Amino acid sequence: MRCVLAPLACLVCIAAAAAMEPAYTPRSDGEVLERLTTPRLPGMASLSELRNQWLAQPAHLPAALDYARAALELHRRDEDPRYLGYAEAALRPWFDRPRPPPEVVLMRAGVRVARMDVAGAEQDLNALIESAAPERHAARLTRAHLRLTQGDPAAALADCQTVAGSVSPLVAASCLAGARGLAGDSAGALASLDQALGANAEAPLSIANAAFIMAAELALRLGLEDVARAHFERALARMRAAQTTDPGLLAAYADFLLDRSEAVQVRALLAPYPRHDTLVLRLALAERALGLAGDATAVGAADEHTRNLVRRFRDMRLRLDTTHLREQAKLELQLRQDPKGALRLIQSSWAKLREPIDARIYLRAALDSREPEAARPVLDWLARTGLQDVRLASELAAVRAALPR
Amino acid sequence: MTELLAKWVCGMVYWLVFGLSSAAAHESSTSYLQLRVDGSQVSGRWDIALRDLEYALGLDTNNDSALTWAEVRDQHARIGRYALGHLVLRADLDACRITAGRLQIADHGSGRYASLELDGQCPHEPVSLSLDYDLLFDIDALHRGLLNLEFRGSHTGLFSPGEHVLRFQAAGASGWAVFSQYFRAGLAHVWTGWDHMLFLAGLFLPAVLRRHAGRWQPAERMRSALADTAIMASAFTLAHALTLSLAATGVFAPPTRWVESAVAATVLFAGLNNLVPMVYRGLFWLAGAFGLVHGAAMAGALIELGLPPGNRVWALLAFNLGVEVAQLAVVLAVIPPSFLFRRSAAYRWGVLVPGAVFITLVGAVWLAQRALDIELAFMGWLR
Amino acid sequence: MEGHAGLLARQFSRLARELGRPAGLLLSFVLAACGQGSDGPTPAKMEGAASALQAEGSRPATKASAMSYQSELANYVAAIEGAQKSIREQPDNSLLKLETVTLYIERARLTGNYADYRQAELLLESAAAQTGPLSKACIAQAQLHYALHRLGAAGAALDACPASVAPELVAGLRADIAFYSGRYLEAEAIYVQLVNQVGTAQQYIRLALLRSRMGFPGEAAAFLEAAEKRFHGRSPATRAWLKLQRGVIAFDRGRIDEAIALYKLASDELPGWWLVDEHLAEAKRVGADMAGARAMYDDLVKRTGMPEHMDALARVLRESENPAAANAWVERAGMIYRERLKSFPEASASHAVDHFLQFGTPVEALALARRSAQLRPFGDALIALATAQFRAGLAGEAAVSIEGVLKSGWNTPQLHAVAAMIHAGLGRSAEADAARNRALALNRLAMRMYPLASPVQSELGP
Repeated sequence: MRCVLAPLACLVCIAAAAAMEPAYTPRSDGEVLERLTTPRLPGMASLSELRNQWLAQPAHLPAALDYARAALELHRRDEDPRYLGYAEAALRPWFDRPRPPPEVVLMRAGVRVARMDVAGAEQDLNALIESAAPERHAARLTRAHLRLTQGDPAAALADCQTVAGSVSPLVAASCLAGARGLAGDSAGALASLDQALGANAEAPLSIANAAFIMAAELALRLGLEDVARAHFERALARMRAAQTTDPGLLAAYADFLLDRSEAVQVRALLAPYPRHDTLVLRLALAERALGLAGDATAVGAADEHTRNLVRRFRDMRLRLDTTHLREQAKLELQLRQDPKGALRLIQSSWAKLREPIDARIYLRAALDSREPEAARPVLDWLARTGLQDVRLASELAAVRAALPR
Repeated sequence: MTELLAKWVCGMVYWLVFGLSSAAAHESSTSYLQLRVDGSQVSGRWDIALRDLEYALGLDTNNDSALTWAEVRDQHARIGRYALGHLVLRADLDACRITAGRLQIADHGSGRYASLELDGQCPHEPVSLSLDYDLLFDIDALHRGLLNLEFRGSHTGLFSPGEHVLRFQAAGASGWAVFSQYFRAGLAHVWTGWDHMLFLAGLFLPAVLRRHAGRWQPAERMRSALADTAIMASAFTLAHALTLSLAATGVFAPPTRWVESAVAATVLFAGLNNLVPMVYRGLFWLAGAFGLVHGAAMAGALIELGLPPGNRVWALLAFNLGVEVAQLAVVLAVIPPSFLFRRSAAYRWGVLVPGAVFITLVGAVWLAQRALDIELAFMGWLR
Repeated sequence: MEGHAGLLARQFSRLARELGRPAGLLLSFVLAACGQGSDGPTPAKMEGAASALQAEGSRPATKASAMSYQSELANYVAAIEGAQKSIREQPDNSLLKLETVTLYIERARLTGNYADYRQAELLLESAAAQTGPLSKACIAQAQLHYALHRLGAAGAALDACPASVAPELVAGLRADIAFYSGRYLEAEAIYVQLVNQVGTAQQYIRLALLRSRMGFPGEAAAFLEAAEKRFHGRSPATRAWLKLQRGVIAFDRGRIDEAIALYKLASDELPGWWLVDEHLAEAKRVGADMAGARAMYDDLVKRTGMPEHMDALARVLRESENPAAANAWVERAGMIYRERLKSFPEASASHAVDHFLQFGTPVEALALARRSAQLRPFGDALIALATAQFRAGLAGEAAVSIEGVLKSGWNTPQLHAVAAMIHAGLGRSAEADAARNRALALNRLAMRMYPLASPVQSELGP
């Protein structure tokens, strides 16, 4: 923030901003300070009911598992970090055991994946996979997806193939398609995934939508924008019919629409979700685009969203929370015009997340900071995996051109 | 005038930045703890999210899914008790007393916070300060406490379930304060360390009264007894000062379990030595050897206290002196009466032998417990 | 009369499925025979060996502990040995054979041992060969087919019954077959008629078990109490079984303490019976007494060696300090199931489904569930099928299956809990909530008690 007054005032401002917000006494007794929600998933008890059942018998594993499962599911839907903390807190007593129950280990792996504790998650997943517990299939599947997000298609493919016979067909198809696509055969992957989607039209919602998102991503890598849009729309329709939220779907669709300069659609799509950081980021991008196109109110809105995000990310850093480095890099690059800052952030993020979207941010940040050398890791990764993605084409060409041979 | 204007501008900025935010996104659970320790006075402020307090305590008394100021204010005492029940502030090893004052509201981005004024008093001016924080960790494992501490300089810290105790050393504490603190800590360590005291009792007794060839042999003269005691004491002192200093400064770090077991073994030996004389000449070698072990054991307490960065040697010296003085007190409590009554059969068989037996047994039990990790029900009171 | 055997058989079948143990079908036979009621205390009226049993049975059972599971079993063993001896002496006496068949079936009910069914089958074939297809043996044949889940063959055997066979026997068995074929209203009509016309304990029992599945647990409990009053036989196994059934109804209503109390009463009637013990262990597990449940399952596995008990023990062990210990039990159970499926494919399909739903892959479980539902398309089998379909990613088919059950009149908390899971998976929030409310109305612990109803672990990935 910029103080326009005397330096002294500035110092006071800055110091005060670093210090705590002022405390005040509300004017009236009836003033509502906080609105509380009773989160509930359809067909399940409300979170507070499950929590009460858990509190009544904290040492009873099924009660703790039910509560933790619901909390995790809510975290996925609402992107609310507190739910993740609740899940972990409920299962903590079993974490300390030398050999925790396999259900607990699997959930802990899920929590660790959500917190980007890749090493910890792998430890848990490996332990489950090597055991004879029935959770080993779900663990192997999770490991396959983890390896995909880390940009290791070969290892992911191995896991997907091993687990394919033990999970439902659409889940297996999604896994395999992801691995094949990342390894360079997006066309073949898309074809087989489309076939699986056709054959398994009535799969459970979350599985089906994950498959749609994967198919759309594959289509986009091939430049088949209409195909991608069709998949996104189908998934969106199912999401709306179920009256639920799928932040991953919305973010992916928003990115696609932003690439096609359909900022108005993005705003309409994301406006109902002011509480999801990843979506507010895309919303801010849309509003900035609209502002540049002449919409005056959009400029203010973009700035406000940006400020909020900056503050939230700063708070995350204070808490040593490194789960949103990709979003932070995107923010710095595209909204705050700080490519160097973005480059540093994406370099940190690259250690744990290596997907095409990260590659794109990385290349763009390197180009804009005029440090094309910094993008070498991405080039190496592309060469290693064999990934083909038309969305990377222009940045890739520019980086290659800028690099000495 | 400039000041007023500055305040106004800052206020405006605050309002612009924070007041206009629409419903902000979900944030992780964080509490903001601001403390200031001035001498032995503690003051500060603790902001805890209303959402978290609701989850922990259930503030919405009329269950209408809306927390009003009246509801929050009415539970001021409860909130204060809950919060302070999860925070322990220690000046060196002694707990400070903190009370909750006024309750207000603060806005930190998404959601409102209850802002508790804190007031308190430490028993003395701290050389080192430790904070043990475990608010909400049992409910939300991702909760974090952000600490801003003013204690001879600015410090910040982050409390998490994995790291819920933070320690801060005073930079530039007065030499006297450091000395008295560490001296007191040394005293306390011996006077609450039964294993050390029992060992000392058992070790020094043969100086005045020992069994030899089936007969009791009292020391002939006070002078020889004193001389023996003094030599043993010096050997012991030098030895344990050496290992204590080395271990406390991190030069070598013996595994705790082995050190504790070795201490128990020395107690066992010391007690047994009075019943079945094994060593009575050259006791000072024994004292020295055992001193090395005990020094390493004492280092644990010192490491927990922490050594002040600017005053390490001074603090170490003070601690050693404290230990010495305490040990001297123990020896003085044991040896003179033993010397006086050394010829009395009643004393020998009524006090000395049962005492030695007791020390031996306790030593054996501790050894089993510490070395083999055996827990028996009655052991609870021994610790 | 043995008609009610079917009803009881069915009841056990349901239990077996729910709690993953073997054919409850078995006991219905035992009880059928034992429950001759005022006819006499012993099932066998044979010379020689039978008299021993008779003497045993005619001893006033003043203290329930005088008869224990072990002693009952010993009686049967002795009786069967004697009967075999008699058969060797009189190879042309088909009536002897028929009665021996009954003995085998009863013993199978008591022990859960499938091999006895094989013996019974062989004997029955031999007896039928002697007397001809149209004979009194038709009832025994129908019962055996029914016990082995061959509903079609059972119906055919009944069709071949001569008019001289007691009509209420035939009607009762037909009703039982109708129940397991999913025609509950037809079954109910016949049972009501039988209660009003015959009105013995066994008729009340059949009606009770049916009504409990249709969502009227209070009525069912009342009918069972009526049956208990009308049962004047001395067989401790029957009395134990009746208490057990009342316990099961309480359990399904979420009244765990009441269930445990009734199970303990059942155990007092016939101490050492694995069937009662496994129910008690399960009730303890649901009631969060893990240590108690584990101790009982440990003991059960040693005593019976049944794979259903191994599965249950594994489930408890997974939450213990050493979860890896569960895996060995799961493997062993799996091996036994596979063996059984080879030897008794129809009879064992439904029990194996539970094992593979919990510990196997979706594909295996689905194949078995389809088989089981095909053989006996009644509530529990169809619910298992819906679960298997859902797990295998066929949520749409699962919804169709479950809706079929809902429409048929079946009305249990488990049904609604599974329906809630399926609807939630398909994103049908309103239906999911409605199903959940229905489940909770019947049993407030419904969403926690039935393992198949809990959501599938993260099948997705991040």
